[in-house]
Amino acid sequence: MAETLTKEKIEQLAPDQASLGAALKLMKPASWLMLSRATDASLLWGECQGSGATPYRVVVSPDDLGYKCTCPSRKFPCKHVLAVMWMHSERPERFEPGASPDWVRDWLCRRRPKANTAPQTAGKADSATPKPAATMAAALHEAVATKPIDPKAIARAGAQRQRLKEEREATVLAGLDELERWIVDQLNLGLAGFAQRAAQSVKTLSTRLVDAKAPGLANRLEMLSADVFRVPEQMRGDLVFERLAALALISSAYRNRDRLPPALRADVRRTAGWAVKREELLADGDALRVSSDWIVAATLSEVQPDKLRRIETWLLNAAPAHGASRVALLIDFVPVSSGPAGSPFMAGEALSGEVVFYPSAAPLRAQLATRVAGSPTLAWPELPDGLDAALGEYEAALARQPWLERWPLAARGITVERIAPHQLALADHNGRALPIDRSQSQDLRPLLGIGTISALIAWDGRFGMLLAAETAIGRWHER
Amino acid sequence: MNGDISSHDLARIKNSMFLGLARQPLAVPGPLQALLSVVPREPTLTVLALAGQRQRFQRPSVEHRSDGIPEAARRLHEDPRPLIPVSARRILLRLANGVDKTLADAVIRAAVRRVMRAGFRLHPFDLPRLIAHIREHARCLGLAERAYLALAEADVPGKADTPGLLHVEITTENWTEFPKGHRVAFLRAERRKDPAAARALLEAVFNSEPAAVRADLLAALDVGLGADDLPFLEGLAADRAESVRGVASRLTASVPGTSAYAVRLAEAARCFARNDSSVSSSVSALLKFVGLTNPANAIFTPPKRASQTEQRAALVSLFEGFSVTEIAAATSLAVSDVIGALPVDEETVLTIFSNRAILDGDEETMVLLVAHRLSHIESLRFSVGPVLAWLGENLTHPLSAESGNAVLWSVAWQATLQRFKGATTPVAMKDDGTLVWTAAVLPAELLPSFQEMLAPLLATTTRSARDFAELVLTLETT
Repeated sequence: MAETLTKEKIEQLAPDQASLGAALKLMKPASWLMLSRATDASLLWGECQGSGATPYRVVVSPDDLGYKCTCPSRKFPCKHVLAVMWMHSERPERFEPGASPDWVRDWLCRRRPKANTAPQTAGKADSATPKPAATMAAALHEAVATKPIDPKAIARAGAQRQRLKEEREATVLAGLDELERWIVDQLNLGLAGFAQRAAQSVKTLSTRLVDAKAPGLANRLEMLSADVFRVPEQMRGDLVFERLAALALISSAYRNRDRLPPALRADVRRTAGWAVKREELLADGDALRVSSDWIVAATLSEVQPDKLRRIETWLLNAAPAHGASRVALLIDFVPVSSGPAGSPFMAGEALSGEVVFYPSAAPLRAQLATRVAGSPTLAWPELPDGLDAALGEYEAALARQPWLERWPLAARGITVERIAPHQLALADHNGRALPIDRSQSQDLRPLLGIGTISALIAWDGRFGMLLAAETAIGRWHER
Repeated sequence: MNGDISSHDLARIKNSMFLGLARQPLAVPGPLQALLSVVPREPTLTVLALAGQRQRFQRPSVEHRSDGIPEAARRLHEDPRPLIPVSARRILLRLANGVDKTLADAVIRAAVRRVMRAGFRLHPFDLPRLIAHIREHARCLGLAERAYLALAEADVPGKADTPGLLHVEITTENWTEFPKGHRVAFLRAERRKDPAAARALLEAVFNSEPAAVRADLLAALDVGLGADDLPFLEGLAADRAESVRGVASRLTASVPGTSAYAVRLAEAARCFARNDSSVSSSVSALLKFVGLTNPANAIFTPPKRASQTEQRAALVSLFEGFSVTEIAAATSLAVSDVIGALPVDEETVLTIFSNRAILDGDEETMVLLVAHRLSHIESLRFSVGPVLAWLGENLTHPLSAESGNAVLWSVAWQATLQRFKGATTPVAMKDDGTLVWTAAVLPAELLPSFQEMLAPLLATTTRSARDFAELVLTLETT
């Protein structure tokens, strides 16, 4: 039987008073997608929804006060760990007994053995510079002693927000003026030489777009100057042509945003760089919500030109109702400076929960709103046969959201074939074939000759990236 | 949009934009002109936006090839061995991803050999991750792994086809179709079984091979070398390739039974003499534990030379090619006496004996040589890791329980364990290979007690060793 987590133990472990205060705020049920424990309470784990699309994963061993959290905090233990301990000490019934998932077992395999943890904790307590004692009582007192609400201050803050918004709108429009002038300049000079000459001018313009509070456009532009060298030389002209065309479309749409349908208006604002906070999205009654079982199809991580790591978690709906979204994409951004980071989910794992999609003419990006422990294995969903139907869906999405970057294609009856050295393609029995991004040539070699597969592909109109496949010898996942 | 942009119009627009509108002004297609008149902005941008969007609806046209599924890809999935079980696969990947980079190649190879020994093949999806570590090692490659290699090599420009990679196994009928490394390993294995038959295999194809291959294949005759090989070797004295002549000459000088051999052997044997002086009780106890007699029976006296380099050269010329068994027979000592007489810092002779033991597949001697080193290693402050790594790399089977216990309870290994327990710096906490290689050489029945020994150590120190042990235990139980 596990040792009891006492108030004293938690207070002793807390790095400072502020951490206990922050932990207290996390004790409301809405913060936790799931809380669970081993049947003998020797392990506690949970998923806490932070500001990102993917939750932080916390595991605590009450026996020896071992813990692990996937959040980037540099406090040890962090507020999430303290909150789990605190909740378990006061409300153990909130933890549902269950079998530990893979990520908890993985932590158990790797963690420091018990014998060494006690001295470490003791060493902390006996350190030469004693820390001020943090108490749960003080945290509770601070929480209760809230400031009185001042209606005038609220009104002033609202007016200021509105003024700042209007100022930003004006700044973004000025940025679009510069963007359009620059595109016309590029057309006058000729796109054939764009790759050779563009790096510096792209850098200059993207800096101005950041200053113009349109970081989304700045990022698109910088990605262009990087992507142009990722495709074969004969495709570069077309790539630049299409990307500049998309920027021109975005610019035009932004200027006419008030005349656009609400979903497309939301798209264009987000594309320019207006952020939608998680709580705003979850509070949006019109947002598309899909409750289902999901398979984590792929986890991708890429460093953007703006020094943010973009972490993508692609979820495949394992039981889509008729007409429901088949795929959801969770995106998190983490500063590169905070060190290596990845999706807290493991490709291949299963989860159940409600996904809320950002308002869009072609909904794909989403947030995980609620989460319950998923079945350890989920069957792959039934997908349309061949690539034509999937391409048709892509084209329909492209018609609704013209500056779409990537779109998931889901199809069965697909084979992986080699069409040239280092160049593979996904082909169907109708003779339709899509080239695969060359960066995947090596990883996908084992799929050659494996027979037909069901595939989830991220398609950018030029190359596909295989995200996951159901094959005769198991599932393949991009990770 | 009123009306589509035709392909012809799209091509004209793109041509203007690629060349530059300053050089080739834009001719706006008819269907767009009416639209542009109502758009209050730069018309060029509108045309760009619409034409670019039009292009995005063009579906890719990819040319199908008749050889879209290469033969190697088919063979990759035709390997009759069962796939590695899911649980073992997960541990193998954890080991591969977690093991220290400096140890990764050898440790992953050892792990893959364990998988193969258990009768499984690697999961094809893991081959891109693992193949770089095992590609040069025939013992780690079955049909699926070789087919994957063939598939990868097909992408390398100018790389010749290697159809041998696609055979289920290497045999006397197909061995010539395999890459050189596989053929050399096969020939050595055949020599261990039947030296004459293996030589006949080589003789049959020898003249048709290029010089570089001939020399390497010929070198494989160093296993089971005997007087029967002399006619073939002497016939190569006039070979057109110098490398072949050199190997033939070296082998000829090493053939047992010749006068040159007898002279060298007698000279080497003179370095060993009986001795009655006492030895440390720990050495004695350890060797007794692994079945060796008291090493005090012999003493080693190498020829004296002015410098270490000269000394080493002299030892090489004296002992090169000899096995411990041959020296033991020539000196009328037991094998254990000969090994026990060697100072543990006498790297040259120990290495020569070790290499010969590998060639002969003489695992008993290999274990004795390692036990001898372990018995002395603490006083020299060497790491146990490289010694165990050597053993792990060359053993085809795990140690016996008896030998495994000898390793675990050796002074050197226990001292290493204590050193890790007291480690306070990251460098000292890092496994130098001792622990993971111990897991690699131990038999499955000793692994649970080995895991218990690791329990008090830091997880970071023992991670790979625990993963290796867990892999072996999982393979044993599935």
